[in-house]
Amino acid sequence: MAASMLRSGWSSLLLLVTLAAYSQPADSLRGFRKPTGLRVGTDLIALGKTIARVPLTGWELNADIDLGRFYPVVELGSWKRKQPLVNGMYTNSGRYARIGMDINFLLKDPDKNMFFIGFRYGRASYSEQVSYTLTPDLFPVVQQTLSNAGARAGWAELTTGLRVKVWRGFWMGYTARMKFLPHTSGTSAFDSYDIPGYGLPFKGLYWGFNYQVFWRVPFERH
Amino acid sequence: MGFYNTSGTLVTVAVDSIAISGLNAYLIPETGLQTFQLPLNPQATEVLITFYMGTQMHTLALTYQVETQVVSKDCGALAYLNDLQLTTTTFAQVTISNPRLTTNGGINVKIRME
Repeated sequence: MAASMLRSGWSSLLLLVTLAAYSQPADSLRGFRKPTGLRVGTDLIALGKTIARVPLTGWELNADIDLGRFYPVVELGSWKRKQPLVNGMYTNSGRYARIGMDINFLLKDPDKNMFFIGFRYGRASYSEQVSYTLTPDLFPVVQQTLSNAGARAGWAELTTGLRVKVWRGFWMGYTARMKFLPHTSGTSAFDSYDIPGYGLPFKGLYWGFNYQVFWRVPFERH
Repeated sequence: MGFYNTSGTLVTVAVDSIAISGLNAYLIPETGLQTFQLPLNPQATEVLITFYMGTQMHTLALTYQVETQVVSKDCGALAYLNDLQLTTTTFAQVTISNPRLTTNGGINVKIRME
């Protein structure tokens, strides 16, 4: 299954690169160009969850830079889950980072609004703990606590979304993510239940969504 | 676990009582046994089972691994017992037919009676 997901992921990537190469005339921003500004933003959904005190709390910062139609992206985040279970409690806490590239398909927009398709590679470093009650037949009830103190994980993503200039340097947008190929290490006590920046790894494909606000800092004043 | 004859057919065996390490009681079957659901301690990784059968006594020592998985918030965290292995026995022949232990997984240990 992982191999077929990897194949479909690479196929999709190849398709979008091909689309990027042939969808615009030669005088457009098809190639790489000198960057004109840095855009820094954050995810409102993560902040909303944190304020609402849902089981998952955290923050995420996003930054990209324009190289013609190509936008190298760095994303950093913090993720903490406190999930009550029917027989105990699961908690995790950690940081994650993603790097990748977005490819803009709206090349003639004067404001550089974007509809993009892109890819990411993510890494997370985190700790997790589960405490639960076991009620085995005939043997006494047991309270069990297990920890993965130095867990690490990696994964890949295909992304798509919009970036729209609202006013001056203020931008808004969203990013939809298809996450796949999660892999973990340092999880000897139990298999990871929730990977910061990814989600539940045992579900195979996992979907994510960010609603973001940005501030763009131009490198040169016109 | 199940009791089999030399041709591989389940047979009923008269067992007076069963002692399981870590359990401060004997299990006393009401009738003869063909199959037997072995209770295991998830806090241990080995078990010694002693079968008292009339004037005979047989022992069976097994090891296993305990693996925790957080399934979901509604199912909670579960302890799976797997990698079941035979250490020693006084029975003529014992085979591990399925090393992953479940409550509805059929026969994990086949004991051949002579």
